[in-house]
Amino acid sequence: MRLARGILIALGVGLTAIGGIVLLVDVPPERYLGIATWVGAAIVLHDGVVAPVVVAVGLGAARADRRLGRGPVAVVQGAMLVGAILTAIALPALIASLRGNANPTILVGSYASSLAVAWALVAITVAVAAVAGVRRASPSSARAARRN
Amino acid sequence: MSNVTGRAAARLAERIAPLMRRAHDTADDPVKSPRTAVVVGRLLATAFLVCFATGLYSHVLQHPASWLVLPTRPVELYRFTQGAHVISGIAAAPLLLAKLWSVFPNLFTWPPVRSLPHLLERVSIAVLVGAALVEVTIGLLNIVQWYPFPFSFRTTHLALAWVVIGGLSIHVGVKLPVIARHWRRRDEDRHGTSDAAGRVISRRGFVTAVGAAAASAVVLTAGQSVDALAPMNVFAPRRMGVGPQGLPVNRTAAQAGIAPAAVGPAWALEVHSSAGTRAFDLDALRRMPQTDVVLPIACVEGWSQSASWRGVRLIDLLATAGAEPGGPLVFTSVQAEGAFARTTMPPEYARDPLTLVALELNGSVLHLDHGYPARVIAPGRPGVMQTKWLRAIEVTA
Repeated sequence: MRLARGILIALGVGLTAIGGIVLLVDVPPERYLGIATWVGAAIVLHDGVVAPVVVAVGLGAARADRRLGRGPVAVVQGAMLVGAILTAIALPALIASLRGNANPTILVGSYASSLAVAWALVAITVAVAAVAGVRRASPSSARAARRN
Repeated sequence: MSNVTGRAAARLAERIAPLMRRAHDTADDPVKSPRTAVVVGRLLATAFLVCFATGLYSHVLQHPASWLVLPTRPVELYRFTQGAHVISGIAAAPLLLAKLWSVFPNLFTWPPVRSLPHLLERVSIAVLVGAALVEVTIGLLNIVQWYPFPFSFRTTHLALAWVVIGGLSIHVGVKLPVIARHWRRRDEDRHGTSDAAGRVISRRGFVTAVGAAAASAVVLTAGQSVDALAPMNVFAPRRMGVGPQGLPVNRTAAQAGIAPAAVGPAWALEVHSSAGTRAFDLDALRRMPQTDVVLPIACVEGWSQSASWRGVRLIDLLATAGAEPGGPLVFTSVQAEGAFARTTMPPEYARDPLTLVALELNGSVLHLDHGYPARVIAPGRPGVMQTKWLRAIEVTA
């Protein structure tokens, strides 16, 4: 285990050093600040904005959980995750297509309407799960729920 | 004096510690267990390794070393590797966010630094996380040809790839005992507290949702390179069959600044070799024996499509000019500027009977955007190396 760890860490330092050499040799020094800014901004944006928002959504879901039950809320969260990821994937294409490209064979999809369809499917899934949850939590089944 | 600053620091720490503990507890969730990090982490590591290997292969093809003989078979090899590069890069986006989600509470570890090794580990994690996020982001931006970043894509993407893989290796080395302990489901995962219940979603539920997100992102984009998924392609920048002669182009003639006069009746393809210079005009090329091949155009941006090409075998053309491809060939385009206006072809491709100076595509004369009057098409090479609007071929012995 110790040997394996040593090898992996040494290998990692070596590979990182190759990255550093590529930066030194192939990237003009006036680009370093831009690269460092992007790497730093990526950390700040993720840790300071994206991750806290996701935590907040999770806390909200935990509240809804008490009313709707675990299964439905899990489905709602899963559907929203799929919607969020598809948005992240489609957003660059959507913005780039709005900016335009002199090449008519790129950005040929209708990204806005595809995204709208994706979110409509997410909304339907959420609605079905919510209705299922409310039904389960309704008085007729409340006794059964309590027994569990 | 140092006593004063020391006391001030201690008091500050006293204030911050409970805040950090609260942030940690707020962000925490029983489902964010080492087992979850291992399960998601190895999927992400697999995606990154595929990206790294296929990306390096693409760089090697674009900057061939003279001592390295590159494979010309299977003809769809580059189509496969570069398609896999972009597909695994897209899959890496949800996996990376899921991995970060599962370890986010660790950001609020208190005290922030316990020792020098701990400091080094946290720095290496910061570099790994930042570089990985940028790598995936600029990859997604590059395939839509949108460049809002103040640096060159190709070299930065390559440099950061080494940094990410290096950081990954360090990270796996540091965490190896934890990874080994949680590689397989453990008894406590199976019974009792099993399947880490979580605030809302269970571990298996979480992994399923992340899998669904990654799968839907892949299925809805991979159709730009995988024939079977073409009908499901709604979010990819390219679509199979969309373009002149039913094939997309990376750069149009107008974008490349091709003047119609430069490819008019006066156009001729020159072959320079130790045997001298021979010029072939379009009629001369058409009078030579024509060969039909089916070869893909596979772009570095990940899209690809198979097509039917017709033209003169390169090896026949060279023979007619009295040239023998002993060393690398240099192809020059009518295109005056651009990184790929001049490309180098290792001799193994020139000797391949499938390599053509193509004059026709999918049953008709090459469209200007596809490189009229003549372009190179060779098996297993990136699209940018399939030089369009050919002007000259230099053969070295």
